[in-house]
Amino acid sequence: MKKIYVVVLFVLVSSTLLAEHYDIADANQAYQEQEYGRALQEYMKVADQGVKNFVLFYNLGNTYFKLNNIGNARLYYEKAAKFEPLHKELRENLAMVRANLKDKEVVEKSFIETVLEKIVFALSINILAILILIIFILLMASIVLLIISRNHVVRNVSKILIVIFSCFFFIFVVIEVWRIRTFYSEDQAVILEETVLAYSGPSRDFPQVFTIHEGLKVTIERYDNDWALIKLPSGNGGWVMQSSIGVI
Amino acid sequence: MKKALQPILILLFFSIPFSVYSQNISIDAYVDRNKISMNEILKLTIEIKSDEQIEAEPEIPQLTGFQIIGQSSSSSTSIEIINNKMSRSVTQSFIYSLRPLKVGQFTIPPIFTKYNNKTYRTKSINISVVESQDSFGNQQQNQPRPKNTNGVKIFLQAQPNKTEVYVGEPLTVRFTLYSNKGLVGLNAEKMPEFSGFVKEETFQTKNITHTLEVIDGIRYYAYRISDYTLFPTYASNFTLDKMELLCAYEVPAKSFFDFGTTKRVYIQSNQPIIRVKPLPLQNQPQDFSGAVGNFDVKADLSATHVTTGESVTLTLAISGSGNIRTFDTPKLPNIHNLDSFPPEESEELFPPYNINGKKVVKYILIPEEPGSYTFPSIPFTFFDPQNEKYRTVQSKPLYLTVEKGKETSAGLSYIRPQGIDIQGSDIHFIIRQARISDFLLILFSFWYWMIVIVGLLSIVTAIIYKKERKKLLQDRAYYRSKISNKQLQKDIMAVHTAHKANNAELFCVNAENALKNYIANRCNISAGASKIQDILSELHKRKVADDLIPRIQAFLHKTDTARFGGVTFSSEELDDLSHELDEIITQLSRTKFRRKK
Repeated sequence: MKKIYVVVLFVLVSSTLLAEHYDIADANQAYQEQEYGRALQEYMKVADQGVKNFVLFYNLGNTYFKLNNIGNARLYYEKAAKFEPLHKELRENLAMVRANLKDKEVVEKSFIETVLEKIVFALSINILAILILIIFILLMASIVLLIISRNHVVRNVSKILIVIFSCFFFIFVVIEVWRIRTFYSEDQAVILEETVLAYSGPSRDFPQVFTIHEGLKVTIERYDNDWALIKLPSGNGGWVMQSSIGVI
Repeated sequence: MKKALQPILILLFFSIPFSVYSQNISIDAYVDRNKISMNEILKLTIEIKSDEQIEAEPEIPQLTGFQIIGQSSSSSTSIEIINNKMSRSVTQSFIYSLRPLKVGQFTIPPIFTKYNNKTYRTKSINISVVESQDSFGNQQQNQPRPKNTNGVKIFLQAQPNKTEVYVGEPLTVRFTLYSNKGLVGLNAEKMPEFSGFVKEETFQTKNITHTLEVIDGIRYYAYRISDYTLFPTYASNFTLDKMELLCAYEVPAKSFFDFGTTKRVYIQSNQPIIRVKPLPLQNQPQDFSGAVGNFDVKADLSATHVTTGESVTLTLAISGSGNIRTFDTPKLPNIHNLDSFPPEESEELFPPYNINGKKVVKYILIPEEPGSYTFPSIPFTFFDPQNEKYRTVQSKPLYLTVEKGKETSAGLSYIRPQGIDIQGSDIHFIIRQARISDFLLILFSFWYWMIVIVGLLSIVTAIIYKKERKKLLQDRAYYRSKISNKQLQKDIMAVHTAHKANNAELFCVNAENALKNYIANRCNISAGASKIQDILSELHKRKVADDLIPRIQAFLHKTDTARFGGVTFSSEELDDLSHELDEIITQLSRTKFRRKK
């Protein structure tokens, strides 16, 4: 068992050592001093380098909220939610952003959906990956034990363990695949402009189909030049300028 | 036969009466417009609704000013399940196309239908026939103007429950959107502010749901948008603010290549005028609290017997209908030797309009001295708008008996309840982490997959190990050949020890044993019982290099002679023998000892 700890620790340490570090202390200080414009500049310096980090996105969401930019606040909170969807403070901040939207969103989830969401999003992607590795090692150890052991009791115990570990391994792998798919998908977006008109085709010459406002979360169906076909939670679809949305 | 018919008869007995008496029948008539020009056709629809399919037809009376030029009918059934109860409704629609014969005001008289000797009738409908269609200019000023585009009529109506009120007297305003076509989208562009009123929004639509209403003979989808309760703050003639909505409806496809579009219409509500009258100053009581409506007052004590220092709560409840939120609560008369804290007020208002309800005031009192206390009646004065006069209601007097309690510090006997003063809400603070790193997915790291490969290899190793162990247990020759190296190492050690000790005899014994054991193990023959000739003959049977056998024979002969013939070796000779043994062993180890065919 000690060996497993050593392996996990090694994996974590090696990953952390390999990752480059960025300093956001100045940005945090600017936020503390309520100089939100300066804080935004400092955070964006790091974000513009393509850095993806929960803390960075969460703090950016806060800064945009303080600057009364609801669209970008929602965008960065949603980006942060990809890392830790069940983060309590993030969820509460998101709820506050949603309360400030002009277009009201009705989020109705059944009991089963809520429970499933809590299971699937309970752990971060990396913790889930380490858990899968540990279960895999235990599964391999049980198989090895079954192969080499001549003791009936040990063999029977290892058979039970193989069944248990296999089930857990399968479940966690399915969850991890689902999570990675969600993490890398770019089919969700947030409306960034105060008022956006949606048309029935990728041009202003087409009839208007609906008007939406800053901060609304929509699904992107496809792109056509500078235009994107979006779908509202209600199911209505319309074409909007790509510049008016921010992909999560 | 009789027995077979019995259950059928019982079923018939129960089913017939229900099918006859449980019918719920209604008849409605409506037209597609109530003002048409001479060159237009009026569509008159008569709907007969019932719980089950019935045979009933409308009896069309003589229609003055119109000629029936076409008729069609249809039937539809709808089933609704509400609270696990299923209700079925059958609608038969009879549509008549009417052509106007002359200009003027006409009335479509009530239309009858008969079923089971009962007669059902519709309301009459007034129709105005003009030469050519004009706008709706003759509508009343405070009535909304329906927008009429491509036959779609939409209007937003503000409906106050009163148009004349006193200052402080609540009135309700309901905004309802009427459309003769189903809407697919609604967006509030401007909501009314109602300056001069304290407003309370008591309803706001969340979903686009509707009811059906017939207005002036035309059937509309009625969408309840919002309800407000307004409390006028000063006397004046107010024109209520308008509400502005953006409505969307679908225009169906007209041809195969037309996919239909969504049209949007901008709608403004009508602006009713509300006359707010001042409260009469004549006969206004001095203790008038500003309450307008109809109220009752009740007072109650939490206990009638207490000890000194013990708290008692006097609850004053003012219930009724009116401006409950805005009036002042009556003051409690000062009673000697009775300490009181500032009162706590709470309101309980009942939907849908928050006009009915009660205001509860709780006074916490602490008697300082024993004795009998009397709380006099508490008067409450309000203005009754219905009777247009001031009225005063009073609570019943209350009595409290206080006995001497234990000597305690008055301050400790009661802790004043105090709510937490919440001044606002904000987002959570940022996460103060000075250094961050870019996200790295462990799953894509090299080490992760190295561990996975090692795990998989461990199974391969275990399988190989198991096979090896099985072979060692089952194949003795294989076992002996496997252990030959171990024994050889042990024997060679003994040879080298004897060599170092320059003990020729021991050297010869150990060297002979080492060689014989190694060959016996590799050839799977008994070493102890084997003579030199047996070993050599076994070697001849195997694929062993031809020059090696004479060398082995010569070496064994030398050692044998030394052991039993008493020949001694010098240290150089021992070195040569040791070297020879090493070479023989090396060559033997490269030999596979396969049997010759």
